[in-house]
Amino acid sequence: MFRLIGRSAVEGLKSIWAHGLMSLASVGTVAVSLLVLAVFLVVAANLSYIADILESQVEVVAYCRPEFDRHWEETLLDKARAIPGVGEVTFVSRAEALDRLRDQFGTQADLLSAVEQDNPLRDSLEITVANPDRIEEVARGIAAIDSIEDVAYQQEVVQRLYSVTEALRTAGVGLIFLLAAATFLLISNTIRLTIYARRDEIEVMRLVGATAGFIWGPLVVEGLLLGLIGAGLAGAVVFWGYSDLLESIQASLPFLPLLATQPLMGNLIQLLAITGGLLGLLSSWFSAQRYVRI
Amino acid sequence: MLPGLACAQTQMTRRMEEYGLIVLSHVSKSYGDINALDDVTVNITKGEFVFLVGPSGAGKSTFLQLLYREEVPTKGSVVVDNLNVTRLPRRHIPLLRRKVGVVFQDFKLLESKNIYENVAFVLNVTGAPTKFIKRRVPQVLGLVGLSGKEKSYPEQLSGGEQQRVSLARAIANSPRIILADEPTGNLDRDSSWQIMRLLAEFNKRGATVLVATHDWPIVDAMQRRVVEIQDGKVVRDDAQGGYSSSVSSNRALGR
Ligand SMILES: Nc1ncnc2c1ncn2[C@@H]1O[C@H](COP(=O)(O)OP(=O)(O)OP(=O)(O)O)[C@@H](O)[C@H]1O
Ligand SMILES: [Mg+2]
Repeated sequence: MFRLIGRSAVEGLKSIWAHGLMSLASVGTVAVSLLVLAVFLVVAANLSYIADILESQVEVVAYCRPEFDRHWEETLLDKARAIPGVGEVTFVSRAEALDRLRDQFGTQADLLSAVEQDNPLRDSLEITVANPDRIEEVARGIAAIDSIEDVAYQQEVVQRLYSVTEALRTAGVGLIFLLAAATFLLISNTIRLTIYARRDEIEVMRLVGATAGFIWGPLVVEGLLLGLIGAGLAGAVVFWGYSDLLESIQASLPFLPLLATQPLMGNLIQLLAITGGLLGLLSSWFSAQRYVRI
Repeated sequence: MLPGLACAQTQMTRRMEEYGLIVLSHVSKSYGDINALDDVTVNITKGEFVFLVGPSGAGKSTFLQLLYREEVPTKGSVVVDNLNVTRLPRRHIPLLRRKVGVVFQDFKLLESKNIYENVAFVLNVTGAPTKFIKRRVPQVLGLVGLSGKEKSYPEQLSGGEQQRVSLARAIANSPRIILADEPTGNLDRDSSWQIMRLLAEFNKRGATVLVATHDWPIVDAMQRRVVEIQDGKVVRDDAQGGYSSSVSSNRALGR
């Protein structure tokens, strides 16, 4: 068994070397296909991450009338909580709102000193909604409360983000199947070429009593290696690409929430290796059993 | 016709295992409309040396191919060394082929490998240990008189030498059965006799040998069992005989 594996590995490598150009084309297709897959996955993962964050943030903000008296805070909260579809309700006083603003301004907080004398902000309620579809209904309910002046919500952004993620996923799945098919064809064709190049040898092997495994071994190893090398290339490109992108985005758009390199890249590279290896195995096995008869 | 039973060895008392090493019963093989073999029944026992003769296209190569499962019969059954070839599962085919050493009509030597590697290849394929291969290859090359040619490539050898390499390869893993398809096809007298003597020698050492040939002088001279095929049918099975039957030569003379 060890001998079979060892010999298969050596022969497989030799064969990849011998068919330089064709091997390169296969590895290239695997790499490009997996790269497209990876880009899709990275974009989709980040979009749904952003959508999740936005969704978990305040969804409806209700501003109280300027004359609202904090004496009625509890009553207001109870009224808001009684509205169907409402999740959590938090009361944010004008003072707290100003504090937050100050935090957001960070080092430039002194810009606010002008308004701090006479806080122009109003008390507000922050309301989460469990089901994003009910956001509108909840907003209307809240707006109907006496002490509320107006209501703002960001449903559209979140929903558009979700639908983009969804569309991306569907397109991604379709594209991935296409690319997988192309990769499959190219690898199995490379293996077919190997079989053709070694047809005399294979013929003799068959006739003197080689087992199918003995003949297929090197072919399957060749396919596996083509797949893995392609996956490695794609993985490297995605890894460096994403790290760079992340760095420059964090420099210019620091508030945009993006997934960190790890564990995203680790998982992605694992996935690419598995996909590439599996494609290589399957397509070479397909060719071997189709074109080499015992 | 009672081919297998009529052979000379019937007089001898045989152990069961010696009976019918190769048994074809009512075997037909057709390629589309062509009947390459037609209701062939032949029984070959262990240790026999058999010539398979007949005109070109008679079905000799087809006969041999059925024995190592390169072809499957359209009808009838083929048994080789207790393996039912007709119903052999695919994964057992290598088992059969390791029992049978074949000298191919077209040699099938690998141009990219030297003589040593060509012979070692067979042993390698069947999983022989490296130490054994190192000992065995020079040994069989010695048997066929090719010691010293290990490093040569097939194209550097004469036809007769290539034929002997092919023979060395066929016997490398000591098969019980040797099949040779026109092993003297394009060789001169001396080379032909050399090959045929080698085959007879392996036969003496216990191998069962089946030779398809057009080489009538040798067949006539050796006086072994002769199975003659014409148009896919066995028309003669002499325990000891020459290239053509006395009957047909008499007929030819009578006309
Ligand atoms: N693979 C094949 N496909 C179609 N027809 C075939 C095939 N192999 C053999 N035949 C036909 O079967 C018949 C017997 O062929 P076979 O090769 O057995 O003859 P042979 O006796 O070995 O002839 P030769 O002495 O020329 O080698 C021929 O008519 C041949 O054309
Ligand atoms: Mg022939």
